[in-house]
Amino acid sequence: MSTFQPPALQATRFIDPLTLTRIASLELIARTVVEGFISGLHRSPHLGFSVNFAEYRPYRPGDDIRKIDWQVYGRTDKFFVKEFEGETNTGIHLILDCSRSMSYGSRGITKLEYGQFLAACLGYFAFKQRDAVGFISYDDRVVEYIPARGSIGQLNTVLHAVERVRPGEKTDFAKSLIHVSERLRRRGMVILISDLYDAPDQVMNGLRHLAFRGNDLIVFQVLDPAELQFDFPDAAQFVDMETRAEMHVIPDFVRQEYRRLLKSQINEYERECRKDRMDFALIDISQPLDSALFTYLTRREQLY
Amino acid sequence: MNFVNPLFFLGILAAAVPILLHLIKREHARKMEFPTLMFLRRISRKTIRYQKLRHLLLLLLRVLAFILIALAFARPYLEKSQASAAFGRVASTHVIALDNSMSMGYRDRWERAREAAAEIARSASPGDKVALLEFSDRVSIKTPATTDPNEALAEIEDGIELTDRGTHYGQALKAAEGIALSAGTGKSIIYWISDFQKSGWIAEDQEFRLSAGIELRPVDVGSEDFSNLAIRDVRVEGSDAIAAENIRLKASVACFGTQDRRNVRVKLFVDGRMVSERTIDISRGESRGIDFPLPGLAAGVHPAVLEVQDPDLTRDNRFYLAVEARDKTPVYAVENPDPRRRRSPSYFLAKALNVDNLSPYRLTVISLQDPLPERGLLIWNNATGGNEAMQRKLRDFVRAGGGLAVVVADSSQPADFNRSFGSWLPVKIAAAPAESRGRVRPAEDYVLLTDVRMDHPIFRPFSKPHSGVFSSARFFGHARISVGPGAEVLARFDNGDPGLVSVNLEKGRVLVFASSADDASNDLPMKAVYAPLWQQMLRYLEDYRERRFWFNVGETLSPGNLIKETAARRALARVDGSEAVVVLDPMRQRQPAATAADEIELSRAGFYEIRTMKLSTLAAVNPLPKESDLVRGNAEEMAAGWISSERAAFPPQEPLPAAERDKRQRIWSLLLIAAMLFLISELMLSNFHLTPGESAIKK
Repeated sequence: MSTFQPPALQATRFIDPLTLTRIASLELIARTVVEGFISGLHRSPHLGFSVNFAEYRPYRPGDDIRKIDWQVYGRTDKFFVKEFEGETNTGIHLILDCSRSMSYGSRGITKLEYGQFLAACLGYFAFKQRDAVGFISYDDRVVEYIPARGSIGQLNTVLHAVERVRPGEKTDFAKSLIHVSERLRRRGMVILISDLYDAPDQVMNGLRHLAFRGNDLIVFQVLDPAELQFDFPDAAQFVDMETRAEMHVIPDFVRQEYRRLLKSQINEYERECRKDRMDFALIDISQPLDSALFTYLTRREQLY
Repeated sequence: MNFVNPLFFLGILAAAVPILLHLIKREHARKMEFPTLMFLRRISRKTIRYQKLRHLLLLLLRVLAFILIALAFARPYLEKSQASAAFGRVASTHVIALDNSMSMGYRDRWERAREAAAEIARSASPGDKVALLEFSDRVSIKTPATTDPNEALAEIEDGIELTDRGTHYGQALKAAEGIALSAGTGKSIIYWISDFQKSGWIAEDQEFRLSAGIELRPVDVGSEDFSNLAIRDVRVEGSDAIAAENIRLKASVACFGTQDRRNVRVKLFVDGRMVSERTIDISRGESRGIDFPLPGLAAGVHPAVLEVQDPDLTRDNRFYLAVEARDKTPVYAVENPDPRRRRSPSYFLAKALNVDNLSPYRLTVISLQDPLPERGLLIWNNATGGNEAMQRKLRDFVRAGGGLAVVVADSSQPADFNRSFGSWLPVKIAAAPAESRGRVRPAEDYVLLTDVRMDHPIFRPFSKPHSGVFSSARFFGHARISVGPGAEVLARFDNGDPGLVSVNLEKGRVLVFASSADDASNDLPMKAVYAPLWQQMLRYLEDYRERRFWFNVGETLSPGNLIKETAARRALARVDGSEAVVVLDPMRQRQPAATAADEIELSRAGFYEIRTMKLSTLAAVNPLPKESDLVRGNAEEMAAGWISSERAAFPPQEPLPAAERDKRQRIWSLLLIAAMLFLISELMLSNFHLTPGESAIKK
């Protein structure tokens, strides 16, 4: 699931993340992305118990007779079933890594900005489905914590919190996520957006704490294309954004090995997450947000 | 190698592009922020070194590919020999021409020359042929062209030696060329190992050029700085005189080279004993004369050696001479006893011949009644013919090699002469035209001896201007003689009558003079030519030849002639030319001369000893004087003068067939293929580890 690719979709239907950076309002961004995303689907597969009327359809044997709309029967003498938009009271927590390494971007958009867009979109999407939405940001500590609520103004609160996020300092993955997990009282869905740049066992330790309380965990590892390809043309003095350590690197000489190591680590995350029933998705921030939304949507559908 | 399109060489500049890119990319590193170095730190240094090597290999492949492409477009083509060499190595012939003339004995030249020759033989590749020849003024092929260099090495080690000979480069190179051409290999190199002495170059060889395709490599073992002493211009004065008391040996010591020489000792050895010594100083480029008296030499041949001390080149330090001190040859004048005469008809002959230091002859007057001597020369001076027994003795004396001069004067009766001498000589006295006695008496008119055979040995010394005038002598009376077959008229009077007649009879000679030997019939005794003429006549009768005191290396010697001359000097009976002879060279080795008639070549300096059963003599042999002059030419220039200016193959004016031209240019396609292979290799190497699964990280 984590390597899901939407084969039938045409990339032109989705908005380039770089374009989204020109839109000032995060809410508008979220609405644009989500509405465009939804309108592209043939039908909404997420129907269920809800107060919002969706449509009528002819009665088929096996349908609950309580769902027959008798008023319509009275007028038309036909059995119609009244359907409503699906509604749950699931709590969804969006966790955004705002460490210094997330401020890297080689294509005009940083990983943090992409993470903000993604968090906003997911928050909007979840709010549209009447889910309670919360938001947490962290670096080496919890920076912002907004518990999940289903109230009308919650979306704005979350979006404002997302918008306020600024790059922090170092990452302490395990410590921060343990603190987060201690604050999540109710079982729900947790969506983590991070570059996962920490020791793999530390990362997995933190993720397992989140999943330990029965939360459904979706991990989005967001990486810049330059990190994925390491296609720097010239030799340079590379500076670690978090530790400020320096290293002289000739990209041509290390590219192959770098890619091998990175891929090896991603595979390890995938393997470990699958083992712990977590969803893992690698997100290239040069790609539209839709793949992440699909990942979420698919997971959401499986749950309910 | 030549190129059809040399301008395409500019394309090689493209090879600089990868290098420039490589250098530009190595510019000063700038700082760049990156999210984490955790992966970069885990990359091993071994991997980085491998990548560096791989990138350098890539750079090399790219540069080579560019160069090969540029070369291919320049369309190189090869000469025939080069092409053969490129597509398969061609066997070569190495002809080693080693100079073993005397000048190579200077210091260590000979050792260095042999080392150079051995090195050349050893460095021949398998399949190459090696030939060795040694040359001086003679050429000797020691080993023909063979694929086994050990044969030449063995000859260099043991089979060649230094000689006393001179130098002649032209014939050596002609011989070397012959070997090279007959070897039948694709390439021939002549190694010319010499000191490049200038005297070895002879003008008559200047037109000679080696055949096209034969390479000439000079190996110079000489040096510009040298110093050599040699004895030259040796003269022996007075050896022809009587008693050898005034013999003097004159010579000069020449100093060749670049150094002055001080306290040079010159010694003279005669008969193996040192008899004199001089110490001289000589400046470079000059010669100093020396003079040694040789008093008290007994008659005969004496080995003499002039020696100068010079350690650098010892072979020309000694000059060998076979000095001959002559004894006087006895001459007997036979007269009729006539007490009425106031003086002997041999009066003037005695005056002319019995001169101590000027004549090698001693004249003795004997009477017709005296017994004939068994050795020496006879002058039948105005005497009658005697009886038949006398004439038989005379004839046997002449036939055995004796010399007889018959003076026909007033006592000679035509009938008596014709009966006696005329019986065995082709000479007759005709009747006297004026008087019945058959002789001409002094009168107012006279005849002159005008028609003289100046090319004859008797008159040859008088052939030069102011060397003697016979026409000044007046002959008032002479016998009118007629000659038959076998007689040769050497001089005639101006009336056509023979004046001097020569007859060869077996080993001996007879001269008939048609007038008196005194002043009875002519005034010749009063003239300056009288004594020389008679000495010349006697020399002719004894078959005298000037003895050569020495020969030069390289000359041929007839042992038979030398033995005959020696026998004549010693007034012995003549030696038969077919007599067995033994010739020993200076190393006391017997030379291949079976009979005295054979000729031998003189190859060593020193004394050759020639022996027969009856006598022995010496021949002195010296190196050629010019060989002592070590002035040398420029080796490269001399070699350039022998090389052919023609191209080895395919003269330029001869257009090549298209197929041949394409064949020779086909190397361009090979270059292009090689460039393609390099590029493919570069592509494979650059894509190594970049397989599709690793080229991108899946998302």
